[in-house]
Amino acid sequence: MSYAAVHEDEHHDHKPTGIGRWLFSTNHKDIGTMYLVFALIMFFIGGAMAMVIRLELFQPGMQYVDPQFFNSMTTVHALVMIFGALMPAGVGLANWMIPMMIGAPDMAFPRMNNMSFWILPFAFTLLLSTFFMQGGAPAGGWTMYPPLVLQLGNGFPFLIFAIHFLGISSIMGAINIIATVFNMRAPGMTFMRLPLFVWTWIITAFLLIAAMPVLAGAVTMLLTDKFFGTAFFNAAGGGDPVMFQHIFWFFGHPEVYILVLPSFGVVSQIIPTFARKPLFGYASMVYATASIAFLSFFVWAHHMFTVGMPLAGELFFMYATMAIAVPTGVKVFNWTATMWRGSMTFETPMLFAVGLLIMFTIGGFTGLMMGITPVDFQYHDTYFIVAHFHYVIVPGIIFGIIGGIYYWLPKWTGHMYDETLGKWHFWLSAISVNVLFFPMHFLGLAGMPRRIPDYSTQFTDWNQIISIGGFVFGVSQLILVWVVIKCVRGGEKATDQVWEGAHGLEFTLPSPPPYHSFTTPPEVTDATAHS
Amino acid sequence: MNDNDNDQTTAEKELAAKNMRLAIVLGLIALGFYVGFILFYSI
Repeated sequence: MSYAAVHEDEHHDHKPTGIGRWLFSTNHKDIGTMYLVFALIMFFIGGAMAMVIRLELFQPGMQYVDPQFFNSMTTVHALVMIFGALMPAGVGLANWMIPMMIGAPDMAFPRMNNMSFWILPFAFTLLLSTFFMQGGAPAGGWTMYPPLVLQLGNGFPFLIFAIHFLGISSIMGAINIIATVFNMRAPGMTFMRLPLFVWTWIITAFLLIAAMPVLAGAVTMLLTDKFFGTAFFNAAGGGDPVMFQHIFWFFGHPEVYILVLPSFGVVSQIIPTFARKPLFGYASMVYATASIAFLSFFVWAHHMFTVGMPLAGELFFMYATMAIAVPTGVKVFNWTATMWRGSMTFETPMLFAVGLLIMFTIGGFTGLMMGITPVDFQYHDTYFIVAHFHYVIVPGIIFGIIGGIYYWLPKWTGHMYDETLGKWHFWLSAISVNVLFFPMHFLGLAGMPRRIPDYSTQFTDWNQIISIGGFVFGVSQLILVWVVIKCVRGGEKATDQVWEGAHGLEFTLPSPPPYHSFTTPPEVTDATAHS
Repeated sequence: MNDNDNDQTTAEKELAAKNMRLAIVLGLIALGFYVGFILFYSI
């Protein structure tokens, strides 16, 4: 390794103090921390809603909540998790790590970075306040299909404006990331030397620029249909409710790759470290990620196979959906090949990464099954779909985020986290997540529809097992909070490199890094700069 | 030393201009997707 790394002089490391440090922060590390703390809080809020859902579904019949409130739980659980937990967590990791990984002093637009974050608590206050309004919180599904969504009460404009603000936050964040990586790399940090995490975030940022405005357009059209006499989605006025689905899912499919690509990037950082081998097929990983992003714009209607599209359309989307599995498979093979003949150890980050590799693949297999149009006619709107997307999201995206947190916590705090607690967190999560989501495949195949507060009695047994898995999974996540708090407070001192097999500019900085790092850009001279 | 400060300021100004140009282009692309989709379905 021959970085001309510069260790910053901590005597000039002045941090602002008090509440102003956080409200007016222009520091990528502090803003990253705020995003991650916000995401964790929202994860527990969304998780609490999931607990309500699983409590109600423990037995057939209605025991605890009324059906309307149950539907609000399913709807807001998804909105909070997707827009409040997963996306901010990804942006939090990006904010913390991207400048350090490329040798930049901060993000390109530090003030806009601050605004991007503080929009989020405001937007979610708008959304969650709908619980206290006449008509209640949104209850027609996170996909907001008309005409049902237009029947929401006073909370409707709050839902729409919350979505607008979330979109603005994400778009500004994406612009920031692209400008930072394109214009602020250290000398010698060429594009093909960038860490994979940076590559996946560049590609995610371009997806955000293209997709979030489409969602904003769709919900604007909902707003005008409700209040300004338009008929975009009203057949009586010459519009088409199915058109909303097309527009929504044109955003919605790239959105799922926006959610997952950062986690893929984290895995690409973790596996080489703990296999003590360079990532297999760096270039093909970059091209595969770019291919996934490109293809993601051509598969949207696989979410709509049952709406009555012409056969030619159904076939096109089926073939495109099968095609997108190919670059995803390339990534899975390359991660596996990275481990082949590696000198492996299984610390907590590696456990989460390998867990993602196996369980995201299970979710991917069911995705391929659903992509076969005639078979999707059986799966659509059943618990089979719920099983699929929870497999790719929970032991997929979330395990990636958590793996990244364990991987980089020692760098952020200067202390090693408690490895025993970390392993308890992993194993409890991995086992309970399968108890929670695997039986949903059986329920779906047996015919249990999704988004229902009550079900036929023959589905009881699996629902009870699922609910128990859910409660255990939910409680297990408290271990993460304990680990983080304990690590922040103290622990074994972390070295600069943290992990024996770690490579990258961020591991040339002290642990914790100075408030302002790389104020003088490092010279990246080693061809294996990335891990 | 004054010359070095001026160079750094010039370089910072150039970087800021580059960043702003890129941000404007990306912002226009995003705006284009937003307006484009609405207009496309209005006509």
